[in-house]
Amino acid sequence: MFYQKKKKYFIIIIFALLILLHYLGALKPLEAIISQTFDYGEKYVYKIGNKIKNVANKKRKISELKKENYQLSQAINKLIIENSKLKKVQRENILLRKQLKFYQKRNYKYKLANIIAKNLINENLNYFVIDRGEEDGVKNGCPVLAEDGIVIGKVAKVEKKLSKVFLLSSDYCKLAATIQGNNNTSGLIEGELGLSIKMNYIPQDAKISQDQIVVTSGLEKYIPAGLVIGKISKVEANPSELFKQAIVKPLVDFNKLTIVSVIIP
Amino acid sequence: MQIKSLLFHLTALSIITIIQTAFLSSLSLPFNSLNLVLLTILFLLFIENTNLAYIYTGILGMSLDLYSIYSFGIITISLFLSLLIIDFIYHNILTNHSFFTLIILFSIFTLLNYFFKLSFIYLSYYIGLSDYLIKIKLIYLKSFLYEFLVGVIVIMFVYFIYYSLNKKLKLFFLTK
Repeated sequence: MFYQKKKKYFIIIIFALLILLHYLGALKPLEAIISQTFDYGEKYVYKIGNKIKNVANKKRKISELKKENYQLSQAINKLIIENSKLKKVQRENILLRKQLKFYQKRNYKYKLANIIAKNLINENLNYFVIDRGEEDGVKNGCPVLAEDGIVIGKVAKVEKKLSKVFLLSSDYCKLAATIQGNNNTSGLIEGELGLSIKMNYIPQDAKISQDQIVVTSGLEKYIPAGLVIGKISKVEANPSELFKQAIVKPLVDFNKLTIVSVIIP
Repeated sequence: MQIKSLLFHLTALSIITIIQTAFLSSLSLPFNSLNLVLLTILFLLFIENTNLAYIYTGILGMSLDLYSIYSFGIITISLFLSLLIIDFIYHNILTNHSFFTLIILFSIFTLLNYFFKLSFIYLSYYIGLSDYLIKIKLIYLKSFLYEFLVGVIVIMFVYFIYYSLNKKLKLFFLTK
């Protein structure tokens, strides 16, 4: 009994030492091996989960539709299942082509990355994990893009072979931005509870309207100017306040992302 | 035999890590609230495999720490502290192996894990180890509630499957 008790404390001490070794950097090679081993499986498991989620969301919507749309949706679902393999490959291909085209036009250095995990349980910070890290040249603050060069987030924490990225809708993601075609009115993009994106600190005298495009201002270290963030969907102005606010609608569905790219310095 | 068991545990640990980090996290509420790690550890403790529960805690905790945005070690330490208390309660207070014991232990385990995790997140933020805090808002409490409810449902299934399998094994043994 005494030996058993001693044994469990021994286990705890071993893991406490391992945590200490992590902070001393001694575990980096081992962690890199572990994350690389998991990486391959996680990439596919994440895609399967994402697909199931999208199918579930689709089914929820179908139940809300009227009867006349039901048969049509069923047919679409059938087609989706029948062509799922082909579409998966096709979608990846289109994404990669779009990203390649975007980077060929501009002269950015970039790395393609797979999303391998999302925020862990009870960590509602709206972040995801990608399979590129320190070794690939990723740095804290690098912008993360979806197809066509649309900004979806910013790198928050870099490990040897992994990086954690805050989505634009995260409370902790802040991005200097300007509104296109409006004398470059600038402001700050901030996420709200993981649900929406707001552009704050817009001067009261700036004339802004719905559907204007918001782009990065280039004021941040690793983020070039002119990357598209989204479209203004609503302007909130209160004359008693110093600044205006605008709700920005992202141009991509964050829930459907599986492949992204990171602009590296 | 030992290599076989080692391989079995390594496979189990890898599967649990991949399911928790890549699969469950990509689903929407309430499915992404399932804490498979907590359930595995609790079940190991419940079936009197205490030392294995501690080893699983360390390995699964550190694997999750790799993917967490917070400082490395927070998940592992929170799990260990919660497990020490749960272990004490199970072997000194709630000593019977009933279903309700399992539910009560799960409730305490979930609450303690949340409490320790939040405490360490705030501590690491104030001592400058981390730049991020969990802002306790309604949406966060909702996910906690879901974690508890989904956990109870899964425990119900696992407990009854385990119980019925054990019963069958005993019967099989007697007829032999």
